[in-house]
Amino acid sequence: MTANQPPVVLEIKNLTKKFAVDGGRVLTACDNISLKAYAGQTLGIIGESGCGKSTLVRTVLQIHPATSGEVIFEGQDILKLRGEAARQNRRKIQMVFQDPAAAFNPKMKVKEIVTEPLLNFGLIKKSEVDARAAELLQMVELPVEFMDRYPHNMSGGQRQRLGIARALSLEPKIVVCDEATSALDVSVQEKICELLVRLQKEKGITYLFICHDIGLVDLMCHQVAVMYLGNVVEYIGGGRRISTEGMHPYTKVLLKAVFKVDFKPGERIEPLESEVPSPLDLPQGCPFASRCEFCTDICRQQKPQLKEVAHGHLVACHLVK
Amino acid sequence: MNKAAKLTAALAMMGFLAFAAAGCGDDKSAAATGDTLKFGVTNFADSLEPTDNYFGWVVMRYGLGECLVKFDEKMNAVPWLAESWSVSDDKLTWTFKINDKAVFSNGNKVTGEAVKKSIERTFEKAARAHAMFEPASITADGQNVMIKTQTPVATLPGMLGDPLFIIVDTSVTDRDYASQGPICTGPYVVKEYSKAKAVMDANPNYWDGEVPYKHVEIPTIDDPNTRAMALQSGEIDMAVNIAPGDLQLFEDKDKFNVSTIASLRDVLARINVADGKPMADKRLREALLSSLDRETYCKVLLKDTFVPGGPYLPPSVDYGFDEIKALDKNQYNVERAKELLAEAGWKDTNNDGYVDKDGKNLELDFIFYSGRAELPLFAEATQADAKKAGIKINLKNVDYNVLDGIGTRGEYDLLISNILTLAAGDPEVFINQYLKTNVNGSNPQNGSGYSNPAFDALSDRLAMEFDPAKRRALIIDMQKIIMEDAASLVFGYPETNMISSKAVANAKIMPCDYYWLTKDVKPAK
Amino acid sequence: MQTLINGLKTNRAFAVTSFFVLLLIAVALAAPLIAPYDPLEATMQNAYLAPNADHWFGTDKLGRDNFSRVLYGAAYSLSSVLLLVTVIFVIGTTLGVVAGYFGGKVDVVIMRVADMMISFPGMILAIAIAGILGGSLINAIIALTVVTWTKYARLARSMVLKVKKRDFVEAAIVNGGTSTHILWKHILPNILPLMVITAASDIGAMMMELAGLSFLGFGSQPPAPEWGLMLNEGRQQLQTAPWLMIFPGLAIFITVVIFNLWGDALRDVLDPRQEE
Repeated sequence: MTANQPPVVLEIKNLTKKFAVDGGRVLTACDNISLKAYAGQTLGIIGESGCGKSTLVRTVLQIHPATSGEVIFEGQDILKLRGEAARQNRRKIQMVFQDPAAAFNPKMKVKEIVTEPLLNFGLIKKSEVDARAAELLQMVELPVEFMDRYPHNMSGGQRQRLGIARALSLEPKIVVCDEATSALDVSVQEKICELLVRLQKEKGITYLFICHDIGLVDLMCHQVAVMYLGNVVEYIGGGRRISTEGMHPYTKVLLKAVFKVDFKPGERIEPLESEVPSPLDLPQGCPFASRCEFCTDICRQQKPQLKEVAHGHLVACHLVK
Repeated sequence: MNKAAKLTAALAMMGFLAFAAAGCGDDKSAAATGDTLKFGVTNFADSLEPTDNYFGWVVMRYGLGECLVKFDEKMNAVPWLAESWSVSDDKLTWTFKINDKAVFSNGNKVTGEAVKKSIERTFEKAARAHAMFEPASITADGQNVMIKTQTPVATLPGMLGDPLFIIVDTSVTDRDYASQGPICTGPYVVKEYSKAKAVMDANPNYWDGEVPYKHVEIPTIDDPNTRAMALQSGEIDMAVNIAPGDLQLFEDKDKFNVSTIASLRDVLARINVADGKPMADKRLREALLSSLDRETYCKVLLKDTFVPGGPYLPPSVDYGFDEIKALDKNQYNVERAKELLAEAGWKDTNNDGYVDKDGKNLELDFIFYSGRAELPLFAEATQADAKKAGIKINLKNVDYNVLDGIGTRGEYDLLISNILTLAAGDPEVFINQYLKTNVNGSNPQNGSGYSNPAFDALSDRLAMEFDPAKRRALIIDMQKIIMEDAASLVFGYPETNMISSKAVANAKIMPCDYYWLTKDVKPAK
Repeated sequence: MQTLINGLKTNRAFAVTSFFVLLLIAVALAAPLIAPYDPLEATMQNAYLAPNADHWFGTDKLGRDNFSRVLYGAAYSLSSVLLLVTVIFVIGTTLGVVAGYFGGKVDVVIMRVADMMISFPGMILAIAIAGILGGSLINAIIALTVVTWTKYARLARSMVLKVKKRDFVEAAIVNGGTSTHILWKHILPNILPLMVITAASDIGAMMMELAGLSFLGFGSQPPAPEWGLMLNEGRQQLQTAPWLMIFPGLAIFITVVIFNLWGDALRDVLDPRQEE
């Protein structure tokens, strides 16, 4: 730990989540994941669809129960909380959803949506709804008049600001952004990211930033975890950039597949040829073995563990030293 | 469902309702041939055990069973299986001579011994028999049977005409009476029986002449309108008890024979007069009777097929009807009803239309059953008229089978039924049945709590009296007490009927309705 | 509510059928004012009169005015069927929501019971229940509720399962909503339109079932002027006094058609496929 690294605010330890599927088979969505998030910083989690990142955060948020493992927050394993204690804990960990069209009850007005969390915990009275709604809307740079509108009368970007306002209404310590910008136009994405960063600086919020866009993750995140088929295959932090220092073969593939602005003519875009195998039949060795161009025998037989290859940089690959 | 489809469905529903009401039957075969007769009836018998309940009536009605004695049109006891009888001088021993030609349907001869065993079986199995008379001994000698009674019983021959005493062959032990019926002497034998339908075959050994039909089918059609429609359509050739409202369907003399007769029946409601019941007060009984326009019920609602009620016995028998009717103070008079109610302390204090006392409305539970068309009608008419006087009537429709229990336990204020008054050819049993004091179960049918010592005294004398003129006088006096006490609500006296298609001859209804399918009913030439 | 009012303005079928529904209700409510006679008043000398100037629909077996009875029958039958549908709606929806939202054993139990009920032919079971309990309007309502709640429960449950998956329900959980709050504020309002449409469309069918039970003697008892009962009483005089069946039958028919058409129009107006 470097001298000015902030304290760990959330520690995920050996988290495994399995689902039983028809026919007695088991789907392993998260396989023994361990990660740390630091106060006031952004932990990015990147991977393709089906890699388990959404399941991971939903388990942390106690929407699904975990199969095994712990999540340490404020000195206790929050996965062991039940009932009212679990509900109270939610004040501190909130979420912004991907699809602004689906994230809100179509029958509720904006001011009701944004103050609902506060009312749930009895933090404000019904009579204070209008005033607080105005504050929250201002915080995310939405016009105060929107208070009486319905979400479907707003643009995608405006709705996402609303989602952020709702998530922040309780002043939580951690906010999970589950693909929070993926459904937006690129220009709007930028603005939302700016907003998120500003709010983080003002309030010291920790973000868990789920994304599939490695370019965006590179810009936004202090630490990045790359997930593949339920496993963390690479973790980079401590000031290093994934775009320049990513080492895992999968990470490299992701990097190559991105359309870069400074595209050199002649450079080839190399999308991965094969398809992602099903997380139902996890192979014995490295999860990426079937698609890795450098795959060797040992890769197929033995699953690589995360090894520190540099300070704050871990990779799970037999071929990386 | 789109709108057109829904409209069609609704119309089809209406059409279906109309069809259902039209009582589509399942058997549309032709009219009576020389071989087969189809006879539509009402049937309450779960089995053909003559000693059970009143099921013996069905055994006799269906031409299966016969008694020693039967009743002619004037309700006199005339010979049947017994060709003659006499009583000893001390009036205690009756000797019946059994017709030498009589045989059971299985060929066994009907001897004195066989008759003795059959009568003993009846007494063994039927409590009701003991209420009729108590035999001291029964002996047989050749074709004679001697019955000695404990006390003189003037009407013994008539009692033996009750279907309870149908003569069965007791030597046959392997028959299931419930589905096959007993072995008897009648013109028809059972091929198969259920409460819903009976199929009869001609008795090959019938002792008293030719059996007119080879087969008889007797479907049970309890609903009177459905029965009328079945007769109208030709599904059945013959039917009993067509409802008054449907009689006009059979006016065509070229198509139908209609036989009607003033019956020996009463339609009356027993009244619960036990202490604590509202009708314990005689004034209230009189008020209720006075509030009912029985004449209109009979003449208008029942299309004049009933004689309006009053005296306890019907006008079709000679027991002083006009004399007693003249004493009837409680014919239709709404003012009188209201006065009596007021006199008894009942007033409508809270203006809800019903008179009340001590905070409670005058409310009566009226039990009825729907097996006969007139009963619900009388019940509803009573409810409507009583309301005008301020009396509240609650109607309760029950199954016929539970009626008896309700009656004996007194679980009613009013209980209506249609009753044969001359069950044994004589009104003594009937007149006692619901009104003689019930001491420790001596008269279980009287669940009403009615008890009048003067009435009981007359009844006791009647039991001993052999002289017909003296009997008549006693019965008239008993009716006068009933009238004075307003002990019973007699609605009216029905006509009974039997209607057949022109293909059937001799379908004649008798005053006593034990006899439906007789040896005389035959194909018309 | 707002949608309904908009619907009245834009959808002609809805406006027209709503008008007729209101007209029916108005007639039912106004029966005491419009009816020329007391429906229970029996003037027995006038029994079985054919329709004439004094008695537009003729008289019945006790001389009661058929027209007045049909009018009062509107109030009687309408209120009974609305009560019935409301009871079924509340019970069925509640059970379905509970089963769908809480899942687990509660769900299994409720759905097994519902499955059992489906395997019984509805009307026959209703007759059996009404037969055991005794004939009365309340018992007929109970019998029909027992037989019909499963449809609503299944529908509510499957809707709840769909709504549960939507993001905003997840959001509500994350926001710290209690189960009660989520059910009340998020689940119910989003399934209610379809449930209400189902109930409205059912009014016609339930009216037929209630009339059917009364026709068979298991529902309202005399002297109630209920249409099904009047059909039964009229049946006995089908050939000699057909007006006793025709007019109540017509009344049932018209009412059922109006409510069915209204239910259809309501579906068009409240269609949950909104422009999200």
